[in-house]
Amino acid sequence: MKGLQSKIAHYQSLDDKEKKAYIKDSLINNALYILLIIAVIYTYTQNPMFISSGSIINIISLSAANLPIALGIAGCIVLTGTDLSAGRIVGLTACITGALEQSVDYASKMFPNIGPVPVPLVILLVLLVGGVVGFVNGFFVAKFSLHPFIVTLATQLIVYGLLLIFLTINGNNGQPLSGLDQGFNDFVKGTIFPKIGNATIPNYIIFALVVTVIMWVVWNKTSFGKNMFAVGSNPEAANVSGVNVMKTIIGVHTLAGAMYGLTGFIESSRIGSNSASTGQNYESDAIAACVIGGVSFVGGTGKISGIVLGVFLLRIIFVALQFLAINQNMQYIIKGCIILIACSIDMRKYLVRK
Amino acid sequence: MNTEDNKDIKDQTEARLPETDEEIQKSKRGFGLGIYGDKKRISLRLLDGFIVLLIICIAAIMFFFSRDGGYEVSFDTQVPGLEIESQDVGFGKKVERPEDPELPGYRFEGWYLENGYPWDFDTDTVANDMKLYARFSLDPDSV
Repeated sequence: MKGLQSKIAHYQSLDDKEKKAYIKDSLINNALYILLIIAVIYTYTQNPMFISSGSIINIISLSAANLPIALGIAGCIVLTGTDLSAGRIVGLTACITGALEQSVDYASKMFPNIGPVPVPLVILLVLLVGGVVGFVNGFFVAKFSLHPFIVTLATQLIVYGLLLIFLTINGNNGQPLSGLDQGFNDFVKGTIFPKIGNATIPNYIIFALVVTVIMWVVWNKTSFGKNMFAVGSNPEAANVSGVNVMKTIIGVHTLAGAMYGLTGFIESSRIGSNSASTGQNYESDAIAACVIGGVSFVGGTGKISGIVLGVFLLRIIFVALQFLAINQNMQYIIKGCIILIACSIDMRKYLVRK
Repeated sequence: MNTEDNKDIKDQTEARLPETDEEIQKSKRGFGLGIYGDKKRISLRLLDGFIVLLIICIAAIMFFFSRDGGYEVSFDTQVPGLEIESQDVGFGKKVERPEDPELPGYRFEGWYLENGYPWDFDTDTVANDMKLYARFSLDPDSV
């Protein structure tokens, strides 16, 4: 409220020319939010079901499923980097989870001699797998000063290859992994909340909330988080100040990898049938959400609350597109345009600040 | 090539490449992680125009490409002459099960997605345009 009042006071103190420039800046900087409002209103006029309780819970659930990957990739963006391997790590960990959690009576079970593995063990395993790939990313970026774009592009391909190999184990021949154990599905997709209308609030919303709180603490209350922002802002200055730059970069990428692993765990149950295409292009949505949420590619800037907001806003637009029955091909074009706009606004803010 | 031409080429090369350590540092960022280089030549007005243009493109696509009827669900029996009418189904709605196609000597197994995953008409909902493929197996009774 205080911030709004000071903004109004600042606006009133401007002359006519400055007021025009201020309005223009505000409109451009908030272009995606304006687009969102237009999209929501238009979609509602075309299909009033868009604002139903079921639709809102669907948006919240989809956002919750995508939140861990966005929180992970945000760290890489704070370091002025990126992570193109995120989606494939999600795919690999989703398939690992799927293979270990198939029910015993499923005909084409990948590991027929192993019953559904205890869920905590699977969570640890996917965190480990994601973390190891993240560590490899971070190591090459930090140790050899290679650009994260190239390093993660390479690991993206490697992970995809591993995923394809994994899907051929025990004569599976690349078939989707389905027939998941009911106990596992109840743990992830089940609910402890009462039904709202016909819609249920899945448990993985709680996972997303817990992860968000943990990441908030890591980013804001630990020396690791502070070092991450210091390295993202100016690595040389951070180095001179005694920050272990290499350790920080590796740590951020490893944590990101673990987050992708968790996303894979959730996705395996949410999708129900995991194949080589699971997780494909997830990184683009996550990157877009981060940039919309104010995580700048310039580095050293970003807030957990902004990322959460970015994930929600992006999901609202995507669900609106589905309610409008816009063709999938067109949806890709719109997604691409949104990423371009988000990056352009980010650049614009940087230029104006400069 | 005369000496003057060589000088021109040299000048152009020098104009593009940073020379001093300071210039090199200026053109880089940090440990080579950054994706933004020197911003001196970026026009704010052009960037603004670009953002507005993209917003207009998205709004136009949403306006002109939205379909009242919903997504198109088509059925492919993979048998020439055996056609099944497609359906327009809204997002999140269920597909109405069409009458099972009949093929002499074969037994109809069900409808499958392109990736081989069976479609469950009781629980699965539509999220995009899609095609369902009929699957038949040899009918042992007719052999």
